[in-house]
Amino acid sequence: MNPRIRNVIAAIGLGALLAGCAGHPAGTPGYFSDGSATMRDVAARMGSPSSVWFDDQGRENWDYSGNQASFFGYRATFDESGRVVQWRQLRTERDVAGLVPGRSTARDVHAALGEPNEMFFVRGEPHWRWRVYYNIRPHFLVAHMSPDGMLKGVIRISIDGGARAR
Amino acid sequence: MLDELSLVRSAPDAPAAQRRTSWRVGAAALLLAVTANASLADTAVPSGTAMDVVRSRLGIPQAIRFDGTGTQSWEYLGRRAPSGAYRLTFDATGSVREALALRTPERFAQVRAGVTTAEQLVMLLGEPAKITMSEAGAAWRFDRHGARPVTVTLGADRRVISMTGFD
Repeated sequence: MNPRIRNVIAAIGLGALLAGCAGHPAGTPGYFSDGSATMRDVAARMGSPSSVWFDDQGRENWDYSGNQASFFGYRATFDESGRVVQWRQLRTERDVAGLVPGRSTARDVHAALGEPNEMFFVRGEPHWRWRVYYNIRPHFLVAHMSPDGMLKGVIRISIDGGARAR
Repeated sequence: MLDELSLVRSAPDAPAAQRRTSWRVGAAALLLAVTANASLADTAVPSGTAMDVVRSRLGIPQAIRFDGTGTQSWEYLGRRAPSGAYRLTFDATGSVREALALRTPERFAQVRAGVTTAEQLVMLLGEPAKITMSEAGAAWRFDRHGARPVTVTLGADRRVISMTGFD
């Protein structure tokens, strides 16, 4: 393909991606986190969550992980009265950086990254996979664990090709 | 069914159209039998089944849960569990320790208004299919195989207010 045409297509794609991120209010840091938002507000704007779970402190969490092709995920954490105490995007750099191979468990991975989009096994060892944007490029984020649930590594694989360990 | 197919094969003087129809009926019966067997098989996950075998047979779970000790459970619900919702709990080696049918009459009967919390509800019945907000509170819908859905409404204190759809 002509390099000029390729650059134009890439620029259009990047623009669309940035516009998409900026256009989704849920992606704004602090959205729903002004202290007054409730479960009702979250349900009204985001709909039914894809997953409901309770953390170590017994707090109710609603995850919005979209479908299997989704690149974005969000989480609302509520206090005991149903008020939002935290709203955040999932699978950020900070989430990945907080996972430590040999120390973090499958439970930590689940709490940090949410439900995987895909799950596969290599020689009996579970691998959980998500779709993420990294450096504005689409990637697979893969968490590799031992059968007893200990994290062995996290790797990013460019959907365009090439892999990079965290 | 095999006898039926044999009979069709052994009727050399039957008109071709009638034979084709018989074959179609036989094929449909065979397909139904295979589908029924698959539905029965998907809940019969014996203890000791490895996690990768479960993934291969049943697909990705709809929900992954961890208890306070880090024990991992997978829930299969809705379309991924055509014969009923269930939860598979794994041991420390990644093998099935327990297969638990969710949404049985006994488990619905344990839901108590004013007592059962949202967390207990998830442990009892698994992931709700849908959450909507009503005047009273959050309405959690639990689908059931071959029966109408049950809706449990939770109040602001995150305890059950009411349950409808279960007799």
